[in-house]
Amino acid sequence: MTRQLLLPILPALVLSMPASAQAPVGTVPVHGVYTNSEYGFRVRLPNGMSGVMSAPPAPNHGVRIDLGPARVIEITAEFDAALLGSARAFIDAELSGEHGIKTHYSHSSLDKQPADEASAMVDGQDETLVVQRRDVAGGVFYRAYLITDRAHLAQDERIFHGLLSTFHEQPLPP
Amino acid sequence: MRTNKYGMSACPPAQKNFFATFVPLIRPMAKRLGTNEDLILALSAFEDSWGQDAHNQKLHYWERHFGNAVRNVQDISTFTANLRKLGYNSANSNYDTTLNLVYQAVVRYKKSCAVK
Repeated sequence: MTRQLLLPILPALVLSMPASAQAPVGTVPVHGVYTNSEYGFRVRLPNGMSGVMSAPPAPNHGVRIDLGPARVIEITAEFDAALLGSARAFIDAELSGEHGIKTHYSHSSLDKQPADEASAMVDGQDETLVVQRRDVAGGVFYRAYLITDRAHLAQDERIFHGLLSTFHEQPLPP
Repeated sequence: MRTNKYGMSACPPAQKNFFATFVPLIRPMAKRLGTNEDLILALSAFEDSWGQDAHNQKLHYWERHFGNAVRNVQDISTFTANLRKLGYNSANSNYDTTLNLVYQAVVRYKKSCAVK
């Protein structure tokens, strides 16, 4: 799973980036409001924080914010091309590659619309996943993901939920 | 119409239309690149929700920018990893999982839709 491949390199990536560093290869920095017109949503990044998105011409699915070594927030969207049919099925598919985890499911919301939430502890790290399925264009998933460590959990959850409160859907292009 | 054990169509119209439109476009590209065509079909299904936005021009644009990265690739893991090196879906750590599911769906529906 990519997450397992990604996490070992994140500390080196983040620690090697000075404050004024350029975005990693294939990405461009994001500040302020991130708008995704292809999948119809926008979020406002916290003051003083920046994220990255894929550089064109790679597809633009969302924004990632590196909070620190192995601490990441991702806000992404994609079509339901795997034909999963529900937010819960999406969450189960995403977590299916993890072993030995205990997952807690709950109800949540994005832009005042119902969403599913799952919290899990994986390899000593806390993961939170909020997913909403919008029934347009064959189905679109909006996904908010936080992975952090126990020491930063409270702080990072505040940032995560603050960011989610700025999430707004927009009409999809025709 | 062929149906599965739940009585649902084994080849839904969206998938049937997708293969009818995309296989003729993608097969020559996959041959040029020496790449497994199902991988490119999966990426198209993922990005365009099973072909809601089929444009030959768009595919040629993709081949120009990313074709070399997937040249001679036959498996989904290498395909995704090579695209990732170019920043493909860099904001989404779940990308590999989802694309793999779509790839499996493409292989399954290609069979049930009897795509030659």
